[in-house]
Amino acid sequence: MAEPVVLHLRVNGQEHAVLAPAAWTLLEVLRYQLDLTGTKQGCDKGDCGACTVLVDGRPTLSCLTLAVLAQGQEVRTVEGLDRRLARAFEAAGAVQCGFCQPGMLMSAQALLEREPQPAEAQVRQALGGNLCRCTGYGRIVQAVLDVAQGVERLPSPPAPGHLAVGADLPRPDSLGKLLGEVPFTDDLSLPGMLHGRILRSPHAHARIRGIDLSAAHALPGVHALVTGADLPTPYCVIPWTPDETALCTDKVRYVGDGVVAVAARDEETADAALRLVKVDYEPLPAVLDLDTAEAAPALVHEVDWKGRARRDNCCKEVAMAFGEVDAGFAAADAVVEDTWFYEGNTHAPIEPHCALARWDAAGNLTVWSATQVPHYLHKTLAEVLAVDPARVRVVRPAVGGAFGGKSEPFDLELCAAALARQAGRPVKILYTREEVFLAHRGRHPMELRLRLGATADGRLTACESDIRVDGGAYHSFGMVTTWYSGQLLTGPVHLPAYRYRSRRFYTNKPCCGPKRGHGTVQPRFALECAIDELAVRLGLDPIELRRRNALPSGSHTINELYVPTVGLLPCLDAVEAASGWKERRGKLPFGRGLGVAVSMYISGTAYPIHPTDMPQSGVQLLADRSGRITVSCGAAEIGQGSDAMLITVVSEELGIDPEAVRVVTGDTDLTPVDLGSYSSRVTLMCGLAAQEAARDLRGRMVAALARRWGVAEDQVVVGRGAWFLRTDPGRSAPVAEVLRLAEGAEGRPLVAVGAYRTRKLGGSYPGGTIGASPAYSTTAHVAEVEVDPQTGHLRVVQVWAAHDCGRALNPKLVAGQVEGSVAMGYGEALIEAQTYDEGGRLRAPSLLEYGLPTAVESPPVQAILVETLDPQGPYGAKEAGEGPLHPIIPAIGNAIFDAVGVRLRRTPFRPADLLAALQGTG
Amino acid sequence: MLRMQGFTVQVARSPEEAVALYAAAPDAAFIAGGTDLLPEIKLGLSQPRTLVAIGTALPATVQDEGADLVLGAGLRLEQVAALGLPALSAAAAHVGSPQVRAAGTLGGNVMLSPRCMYYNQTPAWRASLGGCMRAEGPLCRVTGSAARCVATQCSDTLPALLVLGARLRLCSPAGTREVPLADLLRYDGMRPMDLAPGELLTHVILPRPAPGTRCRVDKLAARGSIDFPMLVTAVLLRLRGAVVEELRIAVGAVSPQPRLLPVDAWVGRPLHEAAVGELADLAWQKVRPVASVEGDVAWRREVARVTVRRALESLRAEA
Repeated sequence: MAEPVVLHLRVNGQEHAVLAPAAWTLLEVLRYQLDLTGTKQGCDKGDCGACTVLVDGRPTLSCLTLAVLAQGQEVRTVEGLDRRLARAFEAAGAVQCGFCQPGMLMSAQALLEREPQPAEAQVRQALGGNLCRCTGYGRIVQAVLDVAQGVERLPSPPAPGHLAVGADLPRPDSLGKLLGEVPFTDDLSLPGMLHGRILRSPHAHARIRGIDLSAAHALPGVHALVTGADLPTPYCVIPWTPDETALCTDKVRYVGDGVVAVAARDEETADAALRLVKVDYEPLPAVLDLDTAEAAPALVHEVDWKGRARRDNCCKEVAMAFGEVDAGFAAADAVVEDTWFYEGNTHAPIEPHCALARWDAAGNLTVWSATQVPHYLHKTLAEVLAVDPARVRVVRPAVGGAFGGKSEPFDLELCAAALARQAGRPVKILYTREEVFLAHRGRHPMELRLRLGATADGRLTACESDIRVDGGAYHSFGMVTTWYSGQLLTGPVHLPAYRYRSRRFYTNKPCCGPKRGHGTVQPRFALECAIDELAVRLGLDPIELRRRNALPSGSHTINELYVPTVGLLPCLDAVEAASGWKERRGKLPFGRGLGVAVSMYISGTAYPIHPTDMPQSGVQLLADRSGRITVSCGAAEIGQGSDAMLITVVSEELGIDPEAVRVVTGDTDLTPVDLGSYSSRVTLMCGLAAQEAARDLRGRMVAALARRWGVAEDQVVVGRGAWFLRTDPGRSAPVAEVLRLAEGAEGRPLVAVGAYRTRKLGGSYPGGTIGASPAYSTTAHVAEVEVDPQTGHLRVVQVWAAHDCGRALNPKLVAGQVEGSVAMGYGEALIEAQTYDEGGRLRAPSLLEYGLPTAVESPPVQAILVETLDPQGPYGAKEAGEGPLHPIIPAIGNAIFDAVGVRLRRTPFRPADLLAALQGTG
Repeated sequence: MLRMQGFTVQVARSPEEAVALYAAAPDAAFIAGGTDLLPEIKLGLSQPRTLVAIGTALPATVQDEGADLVLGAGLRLEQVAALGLPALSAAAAHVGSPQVRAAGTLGGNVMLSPRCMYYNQTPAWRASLGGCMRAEGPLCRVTGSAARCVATQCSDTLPALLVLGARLRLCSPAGTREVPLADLLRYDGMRPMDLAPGELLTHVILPRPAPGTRCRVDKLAARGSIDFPMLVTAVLLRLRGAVVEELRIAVGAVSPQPRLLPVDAWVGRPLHEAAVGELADLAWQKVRPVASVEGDVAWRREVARVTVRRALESLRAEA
């Protein structure tokens, strides 16, 4: 390694002299030498903007700035920023995962210093180099404009009759995330910590004949090396399909499959060690597409996890039929039948996956990881490392975006733990951006054959689909994906007869899995486009056709899913009015169009991944004598706002100041189990668990206060900040006093627990529990597009998104989920694709070529919240984080048809394809 | 994170010192803004042992020399964007992101390393492929031949500079020389410009356009920010009445070499609707996008036709 040099840097007004390698970037020196970890690393090479700092006032990518060359200049990082912008971001609800936000703040600061009164377009341009995956940018842009215009946004008060529900409480972590205080996993370091790397397969499919580690072992600075033989236990987040190992044991199954992991004194040495590893491969024919997978000239897996020989590459097949399908089609006056293809794409959180593992002297393992599922990671670590689960602790620091991409165990967590055990020192592994793409578990490519019939008066009669799912090399959640692709299509538009077959195939590509809207975004695209085609065929307004087939609240779908509330009609009404649908549709000039689509999605699943008699979610409240309550829950705050949701529930029940509620989540040692942040289950399940705990505590507090006051319990009224006597509101006690009173009355620490216990739900047939949820959200979108008919250029002008969330516990956070869902779906519709070349190599494993939408072209989104007050949810709440993604893709597709008369049946809607379609039609 | 190692940095105070340092050091590379070079080093595409830092050595001035405007190659792109120069400022304003424009220089964008989906990848990715002729391999993965590398020159500014008739001033230990840009550009992704090793671009010289000259640049990219172009068209037009007195059309980001289209036949003729159509068709005929970067080649070719037609129509309407 090159000799380190002494650097004299001026950072945030302070002089620093640091010793660092000459090749280090400013980012590395800031984060790893000066402990200024507020500056984040997202993409390796200048494609995301998370590392933006100011150098002499200019927004600068610190990952593309040599520290040596930053000497003599004024460097400013988020740690040196005043709080003006951060407060505006918080007030505007611009914070979700928070990972991109320090960089975003720096770009905004540079703009405002140069141009104190920017127009919106200038703000969007100035933030154009900072990718945000959570928000869709609207609230970020608004926050910058707020600062420029001196607008102060006050949080909305609670809904009438409520103490906290309906109020825009700020997230407990928002300022800390904005200002770089809240640690993400890569912000942590431990004494003696080593750095790990994973050697990955260059072949899409090959047998491993041998691995020679000798030269790597001999390299100075290398402390541990592990191979698949060290971690042979197969696992999967779904316990029924354990088909992967931490590192490959017999074969590699995609370009990028992990083979060897190393821990060394630094990443450079780890890289050098991996270059010395010799793996003897016997290349095998690769299966890279659905046709090959089905023809099965080669098998991705020759045997399954029970050692049974496989005959083909189909790893899951589901075929179901409900109602009189053939009779339904026979009764139809119009039938639409076609094939759609939904391209794969990936989550691309701005924070790369990262894990840090440490074994203590007593043999206890702690793993810090950016994960959505601490509980499942805990379980898998114990299994794969063959260690007593009682010795394993998983801690989830802040997670910088996940979206389903961090919802199962990954090789880096298992390898970090194994390496740390071998080395006797802590080991951190941080994925490169390419590895994030390879880890994938993103949206499955699906080929969808779909048939849909209706009568002349617009009553749907039957629907049939045949779906081929391209799964990649392993199962992940694929069994569920296969079910969901059929099960979840039966609302909010009622299908009176429905038949589907869905088959998932192994291919020699990175494994697909659950991406936001898991399993149904693809078939929903086909169905909602088919409904639109039927409406045109029948001469009906597409909104009206959906209205006529609305599933009523409190009814069962054709596949026996009970849906307590369906907000389809109010959602349609809302987007129809907001978009000016009636007045404008059909009157827009050629090239401009409006499209509508709808969806329904689960709020958690009745069927937990590991069936047990124990609750899906547990919450514990602990009061201290200062008047504070600590809420402990295993729920994973991943940017969606679950910590804030827990505070809202406790504050609502106890009238306690939200700032007096502390949340402890994501630590398996400290919290009751919650299964994790997936399936949009957290608000409903953790919310109900928190509500149960808080109501128990409230009852006990009421009893104590009533006894003290010598009144009946029903005379005690819970108020905001203080409780009072119903007959004499002048007589009151602050919440803190009531807590002390109750502790004194009970004579022991004031603790309460609550849980969400899974109820039996779902159809009476085998598999009928899959897709069964306590409650379902409904969404309707209208998109307006502009198509340049000569170039195929497509612009989404505006999106109106009405979402029935049951009850908005925190309207700003709910709206943020709706806007973020639209933004992610917009990227899927227009740009993003996870595709491979003829050798199975990812075409675009970087944030530059993959192309997340930027602030410049992202469309404005008007989120409209519809509240149906579902009896199953806490205060009526249902999910808001996934359902609102589905409709945007078909809504844009249908708007394109409205604009220029062509149907695109393949995503993404690339301008080249649009132009070809336009020229094909004349 | 992708880490870099193996080089030291020497800071040059003048162009002369920079070229001397470069000549003295084995495996040297110049670094100014670094936004193009450092990703290449991180990906192992460039493995210099010495970086000669030219950020402060390069002139960042704008000199009015009567017939010419002389731009320092060290001008940052955001500064170029703010100069209000025809075609060039608009082109500079569309480079990359605000951060890239705040660090990246005019010289760096002129000297941009051509890009290819088989080349701009990690070492592991390229090892899986078996490399290409530009790095670790025998032949070009786009064409399947070893004749030449067809990486795409994705510079936003080169087409604008071509229509403006720019000359480059180059410094080397042998002295300085000044060469028309068009004479330096080559159809070779591995050597896109005909420079001697260690030759340093110090100035970009723009002949002052005749009064009444109008220019336009258009960029085609997947997103509104960050991206390299998939097509850049630049048009310079001067009319007297309806008659073309001066016309230049350049197309870039479709091949290793941005090119001026042969449009002299239209000079001296009125720019009627038919002529606009002919020129647009000429663009379609001459533009042959190479599939080394994202973007369907037939589509980019068609968009070149549309963009040139629209540019001519809008410039004609302005006149």
